[in-house]
Amino acid sequence: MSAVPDNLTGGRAITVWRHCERFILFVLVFSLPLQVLALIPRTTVTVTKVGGATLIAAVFVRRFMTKHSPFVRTRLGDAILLFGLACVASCVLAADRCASFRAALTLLEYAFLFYATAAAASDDFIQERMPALLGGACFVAGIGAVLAWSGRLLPPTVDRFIVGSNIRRVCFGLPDANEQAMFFVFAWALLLFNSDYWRDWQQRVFSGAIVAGIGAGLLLTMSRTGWICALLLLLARILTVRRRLLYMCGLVVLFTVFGTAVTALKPQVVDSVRRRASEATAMVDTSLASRIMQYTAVVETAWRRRAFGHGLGSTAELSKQFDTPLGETTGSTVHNVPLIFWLELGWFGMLCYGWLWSAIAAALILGFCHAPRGAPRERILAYGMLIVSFAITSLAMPFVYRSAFPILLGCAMGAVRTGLSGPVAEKNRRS
Amino acid sequence: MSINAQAAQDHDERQLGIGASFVPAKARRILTIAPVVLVLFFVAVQAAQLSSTQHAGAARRSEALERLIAEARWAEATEACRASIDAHPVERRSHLQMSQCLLAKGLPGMSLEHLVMAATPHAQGAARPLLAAPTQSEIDRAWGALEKACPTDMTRPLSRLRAARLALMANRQTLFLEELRFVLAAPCDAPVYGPQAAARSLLSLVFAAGADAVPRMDVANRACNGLLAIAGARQFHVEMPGAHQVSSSLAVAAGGTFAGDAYIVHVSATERRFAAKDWLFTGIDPETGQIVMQTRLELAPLTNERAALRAWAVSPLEPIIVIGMASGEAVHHLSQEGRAALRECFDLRYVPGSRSLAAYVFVTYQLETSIRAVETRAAAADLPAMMFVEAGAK
Repeated sequence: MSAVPDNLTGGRAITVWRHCERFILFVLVFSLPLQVLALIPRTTVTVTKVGGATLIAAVFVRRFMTKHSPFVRTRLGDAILLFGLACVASCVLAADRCASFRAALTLLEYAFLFYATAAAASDDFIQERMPALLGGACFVAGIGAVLAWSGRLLPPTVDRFIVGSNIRRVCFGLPDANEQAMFFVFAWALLLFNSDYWRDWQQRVFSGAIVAGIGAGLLLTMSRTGWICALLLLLARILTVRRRLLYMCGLVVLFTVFGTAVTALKPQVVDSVRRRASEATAMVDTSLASRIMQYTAVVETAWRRRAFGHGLGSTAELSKQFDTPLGETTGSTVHNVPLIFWLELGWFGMLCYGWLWSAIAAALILGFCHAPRGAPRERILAYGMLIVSFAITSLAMPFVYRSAFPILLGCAMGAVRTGLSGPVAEKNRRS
Repeated sequence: MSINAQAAQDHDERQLGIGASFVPAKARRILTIAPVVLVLFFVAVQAAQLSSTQHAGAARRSEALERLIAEARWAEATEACRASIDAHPVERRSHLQMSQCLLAKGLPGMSLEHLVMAATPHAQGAARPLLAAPTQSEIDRAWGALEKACPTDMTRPLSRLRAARLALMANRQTLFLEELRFVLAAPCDAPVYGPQAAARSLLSLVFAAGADAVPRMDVANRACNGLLAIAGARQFHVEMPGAHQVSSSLAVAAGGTFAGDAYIVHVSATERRFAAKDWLFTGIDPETGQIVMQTRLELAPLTNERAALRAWAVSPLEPIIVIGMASGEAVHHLSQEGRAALRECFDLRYVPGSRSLAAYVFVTYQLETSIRAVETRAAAADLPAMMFVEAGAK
C-alpha cells in the first residue's frame, strides 16, 4: 500500500461513508415507484423523502471531509444555474410570491438532489445494479397492480374508473396512474437497452419475466402515453439488434400467446385496453381534444407576460381561468411541461429550459461517444432512452414537481462520469 | 479538482482496488440486498395496514350493529343499517341485518327482499367484500323467522318467487321446484311477453342465475310469462311513423349484483348480454336491429359527463332507438347533475331514487316531431327492471 499515492487511499472512514451513500441511493431508487406504500410506519413520511434528505447530507459531508467542493462537477452546472436564475426572476415579478417561493424551494431541493445523486452514482458498482433495482421495484409495482386488480390480495393505491369512458385503471405504488406508467417506461428503457441483462438464456428468461411483469402493470394503468412510449422503446431496441427479424417474429409470437391467454382468462382486460386505445378517436373521450384546445388559451396567457412569465408555481391558479371547452375536468391542468414553464417563466425561462435540455443531450452524447464500448456505453444509451421517454411524456403530462426526474438524471450523469473515467485517466496518463 | 481529474482518480482507485470507489466482495451482496429488503418491508407493512384498516372499520361497525339488534333497539339499528347500506350497497351482511330490523318493525315483504339480497352470491371478479357474507345457516334461520312471524305474507306469489330463488341459490333443487309449483298454482292472467327466448332470458335475471339456467328449469311458456309478471315486467306499445317500423319486438332488462349481474337487449331475434356496470346507453338501428352506438357513463358525483351524454343524445345518426340500462348500484351512484342531464336529454321522469337500489331501463323512439320515451324501474332491489316494447305502424 505504500506505493499508493496518499490522495487515493481515502481512509477507512471515507470508505464506510461511501458504502452508506450507496445503501441510501439504492433505497432511494428502489422506493421511487412504490413511494406511497414505502412509508415510515406510523407516519406520513415516505422512505424516498427520508432517503433523499439523507443522501444530500451524506454526499455533502463526504465532499467536505475529502476537501472537495460540495457540488460534484457535472456538465449541466451552468445550464442549471441559468435555469435557477430564470426561476428567481419570475419569482420577483410573480403575482403570488408565496406560491412562487414554495415552488422555487421545491426546485432548489431537486437541484441538491440531482447533485447528490450524480456524486453518489459515479461508480461502476452502482451503475451495474441501477437497472435491476428500478426494474425490480417496477416489477413489484406491476405484479402488485395485477393482484390488486383481481381484488383479492393487495390494496391498490389507485383503483378508479376513467371519467367518461368507465375503464378501470389500477396501480400499486403511486397515487397517479400516469406517473406510475412513466416509471414503468423508465424501467423498460433501462432494462431493454442494457445488454448485461440479456447475455445468456437464463438471463434472458429472467429479464423477460421482469419486463413482462412491468408490462402487465403498464397495461393496467391504462395510460396511452405510457403504452406509446413502451412500444417505441421496444421497436427501437429491436431495430438496434442484429437478428431483428427473428426477434420481431419472436415478439409477435409472444404477444399472440400472451394476448390469447389473457383473452381466455380475463377478457375484460383486453376489452378495456381495446376500448381505451380506440376511444382517442371516439366522440366520448374529450380529454385529448380538450387538452389541445386548452393549449391555445395557455399560449395566449403566456404571451401577456412575455419576458419573465407569471411566476413559478402559478399554473394551478391560472388554469382556473382557462375554459374547459368540452366539459373535460382532467384538461383543467396544463398537460405539457414546456408550456407550463413558458407560462410560469416566460421567454427567458423557456430559453433556459431549452438550454438545460440541450446540455443534458450534449452530456449524454459526449458520454456515449467517448465511453469505452460495451457496458459503460450501453448504460449511457439506456439513460438516453429514459430521458427521451421523459421528454415525450412531458409533452402530454404535467409532471414538473416530481423528485424522480432529478434522481434519475443524477444517475444518468453518474453513468456519464463513470463511462468517461476510464478514457480520461488514460488520456491524463499519456499526457 | 476538475471533472477530468476527479474521473481519473475514480479510475485509478478502481484499478488499484482501494479507496472509496472500490467495493469489496463481502459488502457487494449486503449493499444490494439490504435496501431492497428494507423498502419491501415498509411496503408490506403499509399494504397490510391499508388492507386491514378498511376491513377493521367495517367489522367494528357491523359488531356495533349486531349489539343494537341483540338489544332490540330497532330504530337505531335500522338507521345504522341504512347508513351502512348507503356507504356499501353490495355488502351482503348489512342486508341480512336490515332484514332482521325490518322484520322486527313489521315489514315482512321488505325484510324478505333484503334477505334475498343477503343470500345472493358475489359475482366472480367483483371487488372483495369488507364483511364476511352470511352463511347458509344464518339465511335459513332468518327465513324460518320470517315464515314463523308472518305466515300469511309468505304465501303471496312474490314471496314464494323469492323463496324459490332462495332455494335455487342454496342449490336445493326439489324445494325450488316445489316453490315454483306453488307460485304457478295461483291463477295468473299474465300477458304474453314478446318472443319466448327473450322471456326466458329475462327470467334468468329474476332468479339471478346464468343464461343457461332457465332452459334447464323446464318452465312452460305460460308459466314463464306468469313469473315475469310477478317479478314486475312491463309491456309497452309504441306507435311508430310508417317509415321507421320495427319488425320485431324489443325486450330490455337490467339487473345488478343482486339480479343476475347483466344487462340484456333482445331485438330482431338476437340477444346481447352486457356486464352490469354503470349506465349503458345503446343506439339501435330501427331497420336492421344492429347496434350503431354504445357508451358507458358513470354519471356519479364528481364526474362531468353531461357534455358526453348531450353529445350522444343529439347524435347525427338519428333516427335510432336509444336504450338506457342501469343497475341498482349505478342508480345508487347517480349524481343530481346526471339525473338532470337524463331528464334534459331524454325527457325521463321515473328514474328511481338512489336509496331504492332499484335497477332502471328506458327506450326512446324517434317520432315524426318528437322523441317518445318509455321507462320502467325494478319492482324491488333484488329484481331486475324489465320491459317488452312492441312498436307498430301508426
